[in-house]
Amino acid sequence: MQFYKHAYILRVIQKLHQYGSWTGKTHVHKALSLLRDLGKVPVPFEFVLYKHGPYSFEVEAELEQMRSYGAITMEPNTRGYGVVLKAGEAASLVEQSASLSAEVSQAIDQVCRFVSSRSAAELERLATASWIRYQERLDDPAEVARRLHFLKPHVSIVEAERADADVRSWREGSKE
Amino acid sequence: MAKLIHEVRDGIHGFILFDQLEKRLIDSAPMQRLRCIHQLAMCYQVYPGATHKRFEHSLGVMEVATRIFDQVFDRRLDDAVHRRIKEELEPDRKGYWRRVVRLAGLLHDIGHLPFSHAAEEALLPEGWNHERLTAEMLRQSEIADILKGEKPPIDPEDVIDVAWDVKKRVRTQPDTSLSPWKTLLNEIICGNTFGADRIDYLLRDSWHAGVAYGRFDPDRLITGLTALIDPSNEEIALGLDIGAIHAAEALLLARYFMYTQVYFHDVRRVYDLHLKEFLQAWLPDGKFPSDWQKLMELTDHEVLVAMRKAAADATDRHHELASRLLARKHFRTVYELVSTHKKKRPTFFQELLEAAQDEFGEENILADTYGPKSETNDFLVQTDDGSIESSLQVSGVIANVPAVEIGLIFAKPELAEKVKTWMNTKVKQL
Repeated sequence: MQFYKHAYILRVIQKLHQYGSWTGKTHVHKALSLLRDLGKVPVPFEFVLYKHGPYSFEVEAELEQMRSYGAITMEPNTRGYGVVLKAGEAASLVEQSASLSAEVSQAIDQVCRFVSSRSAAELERLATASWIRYQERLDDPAEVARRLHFLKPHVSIVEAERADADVRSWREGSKE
Repeated sequence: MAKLIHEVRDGIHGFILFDQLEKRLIDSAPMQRLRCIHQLAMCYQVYPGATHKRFEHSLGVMEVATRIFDQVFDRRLDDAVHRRIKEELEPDRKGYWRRVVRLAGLLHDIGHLPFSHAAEEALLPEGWNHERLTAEMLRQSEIADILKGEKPPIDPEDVIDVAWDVKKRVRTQPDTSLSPWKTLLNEIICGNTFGADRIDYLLRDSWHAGVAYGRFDPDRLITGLTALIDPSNEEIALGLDIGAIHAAEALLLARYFMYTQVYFHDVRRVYDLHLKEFLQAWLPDGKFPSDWQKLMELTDHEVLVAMRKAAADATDRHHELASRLLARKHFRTVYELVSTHKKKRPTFFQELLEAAQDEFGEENILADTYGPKSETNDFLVQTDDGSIESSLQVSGVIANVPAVEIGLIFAKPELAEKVKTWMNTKVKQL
């Protein structure tokens, strides 16, 4: 049982709720992917660029594991798509078994504030733009937008440029 | 006059028809090899009827995939969907892709190891799996020549893109990026809920095993399939008309029960473990070759011949391992994880296993775990008024299909009763 991984996920879920997110799986995957791209703290999950942008099979497996012993709950989202994630009865067990450093907690807070109010479509664009810029290391905004449009043809170049600019602006702000 | 269309009778789908190209592929050595690979490894030791092979499953997937393709693309598509894929639906292109989908269904399993999935990860060099071997064979074997020699030629890469489950492929090939069109076709073969592979294996495995769990109404399900735009992320995806939702519920429940009752039956799982032990001891360096040409020489037959020889000869160094499999001297189940134990103490299974290995010796105790895993059951449903909803919202059944998790501990037959009594004491102390 990898409680330190569960501690990351649980804190993301708690922070997303704190900032008013309905907190679906997409929020958690994209928040942790952005956290990794941010590069301030180690993130113990591998990601791949999948159908809807960055995705972690490890995060998915750990979510199931956490649900199985009651660290989180998953309920269908009554207002839209997917499931709503919440801290469960055994959340305190995770907190007792693995504590996060102040740096990790602060970085998670920054990311969750950024993603909490976004829709799944926005999250896909933002996290993919961030992936292209910080994992594939494309630097030129026009190149990033072209790559995002290539990967997701339904995302227009203008939307792609906006997503990239949004990510850059947030990261600039988070340096302060 | 030579026949242009051929047919074969199938226990699950009735007559399956195929053309000249498909006949040449079916007659090829890689496809014929699948006649010698059991679909469910040594599950026949538990369910004696489960002796079916990958060969007939492959024909079945081709048939189901064709029905899905025709259902989805022969009907009037929503305008927004049609705009996205209209170039691929031009008659020539559509005919080509229909062939690719059929061939992807037919050929998707040619790279399987003897005894199918049993311990594949442990028995291949790192980075290899049967899907990658399938791709190698599609690129390099006589199959590539047959595909490229067709008029117009079929690009093996197109078949690979459609046949290789993209969610598994990105794990070993992270640079994989399929177009939305190919992603849709990939879903026809490999999709969690509506994939032809899954539809066929649930029906076929349950029929052969003689259990009722895997049955559902595939015709109702397939006639409800359609391509939709996901309102949450604007991606194109396979979805379902609301009228077919109960057929989808039945499929998902069938899958759940087949996993818990057949695929993860405790004795079946211990046979997989013993099979892995035997193969690791018998194979050179304990691994199957990742060279597809060498793999082609190996089927269940070669393994079973070696196993029978070893079981019959008490001096053979593999005698004990072979006897476990062929003389029913398999380890016995002494503990099965139940969710209440895990909720009381999430680490209980691992602690119990380690304590048992300390008490009775590692060589006398085996364990097997899976999950917890619940497949993604969140798909698009088009309601009668044309709106698109999540399956989790429209169906309480689908929203509540439990995750599958197993945790099994086995002990050597001679010690089983003693270990079980010891385990029961530990469980009572929990």
